[in-house]
Amino acid sequence: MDEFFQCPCSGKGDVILDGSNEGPNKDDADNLLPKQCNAGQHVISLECSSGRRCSPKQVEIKDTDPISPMQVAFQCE
Amino acid sequence: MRIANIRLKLICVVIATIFAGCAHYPDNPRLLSVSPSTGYRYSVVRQQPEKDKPFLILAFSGGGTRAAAFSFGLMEELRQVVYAAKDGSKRKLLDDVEIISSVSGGSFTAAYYALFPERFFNEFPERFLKADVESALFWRLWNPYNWFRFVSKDFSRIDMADEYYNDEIFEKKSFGDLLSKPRGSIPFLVLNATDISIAHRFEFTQDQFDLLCSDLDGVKMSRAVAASSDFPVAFAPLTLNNYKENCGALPKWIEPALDREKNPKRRYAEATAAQSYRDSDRRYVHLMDGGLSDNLGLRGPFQAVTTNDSPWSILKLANLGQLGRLMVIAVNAKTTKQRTWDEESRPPGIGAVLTVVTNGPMDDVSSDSVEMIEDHFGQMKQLARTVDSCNKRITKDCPNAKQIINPIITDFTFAELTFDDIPDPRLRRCLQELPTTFYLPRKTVELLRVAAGYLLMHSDDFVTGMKRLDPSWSPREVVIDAKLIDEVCHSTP
Repeated sequence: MDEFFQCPCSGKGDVILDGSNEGPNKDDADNLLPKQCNAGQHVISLECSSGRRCSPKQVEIKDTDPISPMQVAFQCE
Repeated sequence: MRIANIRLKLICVVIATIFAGCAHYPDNPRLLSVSPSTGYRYSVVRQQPEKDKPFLILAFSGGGTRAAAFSFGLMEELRQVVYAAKDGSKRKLLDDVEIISSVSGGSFTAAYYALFPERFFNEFPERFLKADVESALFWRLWNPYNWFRFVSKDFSRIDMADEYYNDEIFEKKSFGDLLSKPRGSIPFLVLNATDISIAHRFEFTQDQFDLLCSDLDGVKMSRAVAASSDFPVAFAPLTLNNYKENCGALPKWIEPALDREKNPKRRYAEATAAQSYRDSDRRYVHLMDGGLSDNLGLRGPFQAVTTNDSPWSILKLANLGQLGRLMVIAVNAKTTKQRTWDEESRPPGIGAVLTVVTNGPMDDVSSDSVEMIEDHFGQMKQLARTVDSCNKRITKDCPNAKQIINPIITDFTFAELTFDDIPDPRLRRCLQELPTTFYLPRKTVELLRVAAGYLLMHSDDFVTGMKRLDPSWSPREVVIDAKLIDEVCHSTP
């Protein structure tokens, strides 16, 4: 079963999951986009559009659903 | 004089044995540095997918010439499936094939199509399907030159078969030849074998070869097909060199996946298998038939559809908004033989037991693969429906509230072609009784080809999926000639 997560951040950027670019964290209307992944431990980071980077986070993603995806928050520093 | 002659002959035999004893399997080349933008990888071979086009994955099962002919029949039928695209243009569904994942007999069809798509439909039947490959291999086995070569520990029957496939079928082409084709012109080919040391699926892609620090470009197509169809007992395991020098780090998903407490067992097992290629004591990799780990070629697609860990992850394409419609068609040439062993007290002989031991696990793994894909697609559809229902409720009860973004925008279709779905009991039994060999009579090959087309056009899952793609599309009528059935199935009651 797939898991779901979002990367809230004041800025926009690309979600990097275990080294792979999974697309933008927000759409053009600034809505957070849910991302799909497999259950387990992942390293997630955000490549901010402004060129700034966020520190990667190691998170365990499980027991989520598309209505309430896990929130992995970042701040573009 | 006579003694001198015998001595001379003996010396010649000894010299020949020494030289032939040096026979060696073809070495897979070393890779100095891993580069994600080069080599035989999905992202290098294919263009970025378009959301409006179907993303079609084909899985070809094992089963010798029976499986190869059945898969070929599907390709023939797909060529005839034409639908109206969103822009109104007519498109062949065959042109939407993104990935072909194959095992054993099905790998001959998949590899030949990838190498020679322009002459595939004209040439492949004579080149392989109707050829007596079994006899050809048998006669090579009895060639005294090969007896001397078999003395070498580094040359076995599978290397001899590899030479035959290379010379007679695949025209000495390599994975480098696939890479030289224009990007997006041919599907991404995933030939599956089994790594017998870790009992794990092994695919012939550069991503897999990165783990061995080896360059797949220089590997002949025949070698991959030989490994994929390396049937236990008939052939010995096929050997690859594992260089494992410091050609680059392991893929980044592996490290977090190695945490046993925080990962599902399957993910942990995948990571452990991938990491094992860098173990100091693994200097070689021994491969056998892909059917030992997955006789349908569906495990790779399943991993790609359900994880971001796969090097050709389809879940990633969904995240990137590039996946609007996913279709998977599995060609399952599985047979179900009726046994008469229980009619007497005497147990079945060693040949019968070997057949059960080699085929039994393959059939079990295949059934699991089909169920896993079906269940997953079912669950995804249900989740998507749940979000839609939730949004309808929000609209009705809280009109000012924000809608939930549905991440599952993909339309899923899974169709399996299997002899079990042939309605005519006599024809069904006849196809289910076909042997797993590298030779079938020409009429049998014809029957298998037509049967594949018939099953595709009568697959409810496929027809429903096509109707969602193009409501004006309808299946063509495929009739299996009664005379052909009589000719092939004359001994079936």
